[in-house]
Amino acid sequence: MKIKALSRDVEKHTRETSGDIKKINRNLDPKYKPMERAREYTRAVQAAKLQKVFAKPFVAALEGHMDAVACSAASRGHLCPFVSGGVDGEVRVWDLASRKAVWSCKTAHSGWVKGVCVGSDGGSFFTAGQDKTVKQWKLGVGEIGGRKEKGGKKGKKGKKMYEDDEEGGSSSDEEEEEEEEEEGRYGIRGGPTTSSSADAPSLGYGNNSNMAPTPTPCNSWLFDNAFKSMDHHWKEEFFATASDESVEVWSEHRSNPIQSYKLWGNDSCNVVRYNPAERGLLAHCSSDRGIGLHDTRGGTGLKKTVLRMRSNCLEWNPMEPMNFVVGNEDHNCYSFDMRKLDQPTMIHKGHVGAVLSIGWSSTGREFVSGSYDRTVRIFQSRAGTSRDCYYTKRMQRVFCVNYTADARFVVSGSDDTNLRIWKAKSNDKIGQTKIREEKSMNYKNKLLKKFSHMPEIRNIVKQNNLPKFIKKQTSMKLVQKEGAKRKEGNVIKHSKKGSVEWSKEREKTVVRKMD
Amino acid sequence: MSFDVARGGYTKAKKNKSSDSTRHYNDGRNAIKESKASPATIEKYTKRNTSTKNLSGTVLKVRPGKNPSFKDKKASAYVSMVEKKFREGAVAAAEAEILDTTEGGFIEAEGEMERTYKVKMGEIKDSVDEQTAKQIFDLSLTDHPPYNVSYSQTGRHLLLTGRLGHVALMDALTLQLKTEFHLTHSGVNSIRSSTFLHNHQMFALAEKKAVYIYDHNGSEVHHLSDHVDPLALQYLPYHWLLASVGRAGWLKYTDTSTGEKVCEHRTKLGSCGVMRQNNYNAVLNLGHGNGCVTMWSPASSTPLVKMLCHRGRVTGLANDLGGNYMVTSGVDKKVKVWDLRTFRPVHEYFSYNDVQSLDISQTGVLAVGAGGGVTFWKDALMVKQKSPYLSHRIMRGGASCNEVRFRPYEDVVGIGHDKGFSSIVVPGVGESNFDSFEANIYEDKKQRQEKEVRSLLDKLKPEMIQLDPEQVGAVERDRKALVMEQREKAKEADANKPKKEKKKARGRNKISKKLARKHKNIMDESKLKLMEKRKADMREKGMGDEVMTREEKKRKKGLEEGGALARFF
Repeated sequence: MKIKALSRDVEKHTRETSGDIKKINRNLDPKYKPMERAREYTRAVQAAKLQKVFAKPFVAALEGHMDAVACSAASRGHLCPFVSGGVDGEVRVWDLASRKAVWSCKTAHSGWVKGVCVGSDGGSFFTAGQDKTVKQWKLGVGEIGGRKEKGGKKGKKGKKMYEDDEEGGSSSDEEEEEEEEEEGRYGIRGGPTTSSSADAPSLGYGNNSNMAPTPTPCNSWLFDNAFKSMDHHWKEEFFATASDESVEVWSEHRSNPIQSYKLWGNDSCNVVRYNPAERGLLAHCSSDRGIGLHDTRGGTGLKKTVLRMRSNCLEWNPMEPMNFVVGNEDHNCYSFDMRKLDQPTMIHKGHVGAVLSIGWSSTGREFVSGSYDRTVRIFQSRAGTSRDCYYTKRMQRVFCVNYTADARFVVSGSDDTNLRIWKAKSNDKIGQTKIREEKSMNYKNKLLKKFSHMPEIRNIVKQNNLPKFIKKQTSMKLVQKEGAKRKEGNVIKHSKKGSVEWSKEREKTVVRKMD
Repeated sequence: MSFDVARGGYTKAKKNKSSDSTRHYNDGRNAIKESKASPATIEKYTKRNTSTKNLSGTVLKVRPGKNPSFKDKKASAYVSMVEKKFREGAVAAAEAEILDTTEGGFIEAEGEMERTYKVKMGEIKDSVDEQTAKQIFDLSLTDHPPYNVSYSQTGRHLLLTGRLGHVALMDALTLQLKTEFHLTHSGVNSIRSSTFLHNHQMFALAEKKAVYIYDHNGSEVHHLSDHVDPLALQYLPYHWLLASVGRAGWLKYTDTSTGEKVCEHRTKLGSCGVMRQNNYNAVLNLGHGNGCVTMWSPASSTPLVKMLCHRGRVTGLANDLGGNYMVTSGVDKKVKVWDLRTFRPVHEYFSYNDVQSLDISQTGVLAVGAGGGVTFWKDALMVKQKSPYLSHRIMRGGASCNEVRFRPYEDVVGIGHDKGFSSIVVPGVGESNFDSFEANIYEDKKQRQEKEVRSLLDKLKPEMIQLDPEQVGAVERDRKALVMEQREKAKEADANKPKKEKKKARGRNKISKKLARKHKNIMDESKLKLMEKRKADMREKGMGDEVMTREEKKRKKGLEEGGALARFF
């Protein structure tokens, strides 16, 4: 008879000294994990609650503009530089990491700055103003000097830099550039007087504001009409502007536009955007409520579609470059596939004011929209309702929104002269996470996804405290919608059977199509 | 030169056919085929509801990558993907068994003539290692018998309770006595049942008056006065619920984390002293005096299941860990095995003595404590065995078994009887590999505390207890549609039923005549019209008086009589 009994070595399962890590033993047999689904569900409910507990989206407000922030742009290739233009013609460059302005020019334009964008190489940025000019400014992309020391014997950094700037103010372009490189400083290079600025006290030259001359652009272009929008080509040295009567394509090396379009009548264009993938494709929104596409290589218009109301902004999805989203005057955002302009692929609802600006996440999965209703909403690219809604008491109408290049933050510029930095995921942890923490977060997210259909969890996730104004407007819109639905139902009820049918919302969006 | 918008402005990358096809058919089935682990092992890790085998044993034929139950392509693809993940997970888990180095015990007969049940405890003691041999011992405790036994969830601690008021808490590994005390306050014949709570720091005793909770030092920490005259106790560790049932037949649940009573159900079946939990779904199974077994959840005031199992009182009950089988014993001297998926008996055994206690080990060995002995039956749930795996007679002088319990994660069995307590070793009954996150045998203080907090966070709601635990978080089907479907099915079944032969009697019972009789006195519009018409016809024909109704005739006669008498007509 063979007899053997189960016998465990205690030392194999316990640690030798208290410094060792505790030994663990696994048995994956589901028999020993009863009611696993119920336990997972309980954890998912907790995760949903914790998500709401830690939802603190606001990171910082960037003060400095003297008037409303009209437009802003993040660099497409770099993390740090962020450019904003004000209604009063002021342009500022921000270092988002230190939350400070590193450069500013009060009189970049006279009147509104209508468009800013960072050039394709990231070394310069362009601003277009209502004063019929486009200006190019040099932008240094490197390490941020204020926070990183190089070399051993620098002494007081602030003072040193101040001296550098003074030198820079009198030296030539090249020398200045070299100086900057040596310092490893981030800021504006190029123009002889660019780096000293009135509003960069953090860098140590605040007292010198009266002495510093105004920065000058390294290039400027003049035109007959006031500009409404501009965009730079994603890869090449072209940029496009939209003005009162036409859309122009410019080369960085020519003083006159190389192409000018007056398509589909003389309506003024208010937005123009280059397609991220197709080098010659431009999309524009015009004040006749239209969205149009044209090809700069052939110089031809391709398609145009007219919506019920005017679109205020248009952005291409950076990862799915055949798709774009427009923000409309009728409070909705519309996703379009450029191949099928006869109806939107999705209507994104939620705002109770005109949508003024849209910014895509670099992942192409989400976009942020800023609205006249003083809120910022984040939509998933294929969702009809917003994932989250951000607001503060002090934030006024949002004119511009952008995602940072790492898709972790959202920057909004509003009427109250401030730029605000928000987390893209409201419960995101800023700072380094431990591996265990990260694992736990991943586990929680997975559980949330698994049980996202459950009413208990859905209600917690969906729950969002909104200002009274927004709530009221939303409920009012709901009443209006119900009324319209009832009316339509009545029409159908009192018509001959089959002659009138329920109209589809997406089909109603597009009024007219032109080719 | 013009830009091709219609095609999206980009050319699609040509699909690599070979890679595409491999991706299409690699849905986890290949992984099962290629795996080094045996299919049986993989099956163990496959969830019950995701298994393609249904109860009747037929295998559903599903084409890889396509799920027939979905019209929606996306949903179908998603479900296929999830199923694939499950299959791959099962394979990975099965392959990871290689890492489990602790081997389970066994008794193997070497010759054809050898029988394992003839092995005596002395032989086992001689052939196992010293540490295990220590687990074979008898405690002669004759002052407070009979004894009840309960082990903590990790199997590390042992609680002995003598019916007459003796309580002893032991470390089952080191065999040290942790605490010992005698109850005096609730009189003689006091302790009916005992159970550990979430860890060995607290335990509950069912005493005559009420349920009391003691801590590991033996001090009384709670007195649950709601639980009056309890006879059996069960603790549901994942729900933190303590349940008792007693002489009045009330099943009561108390939440041990908040101390609140969750619910109480009236069983309406009288005194009940047999209660065990189904580990798979935390449903409580009660054995009653009339031979019924009822299954309870806090969510329902009526039993989820009520099944007649025995003729006469149910004396013992046990569930297997997987939740598929239940074993019951009754005063009819039968031990029956039930399939809990179909609620049908699988087979039954006969016992010469009245069965006192039943238990099923983690590996599925059935222990039957009857009279002065305990017999162990291996693989006896699915297949009917002819002879036991092992049999053991309690103590030399003879003792009557009161309660038999397997110690989790060890090859040890504790037997409480009327002369004390016996601990024996039965090779092959304990799970060799424990999971540190479920039940850590060697946990230290810190780990125990952390586990306590974690399990509190993961505490399940009492309402989640139901027969199918996989239903939690699942999508409920549309009730209306379900009812309609059931009706359709019933209709179909009715249509197929052979029709009852009609009793045919001529004459009075003819259906047309029946109807005519029914409609004879009904005065409806059409009938009135008809009468009017008939009258008019008659008048035309000049048969004025004959057409008159009885009332009209009367009135006419009255008028003819004239004067005051007219009103009497």
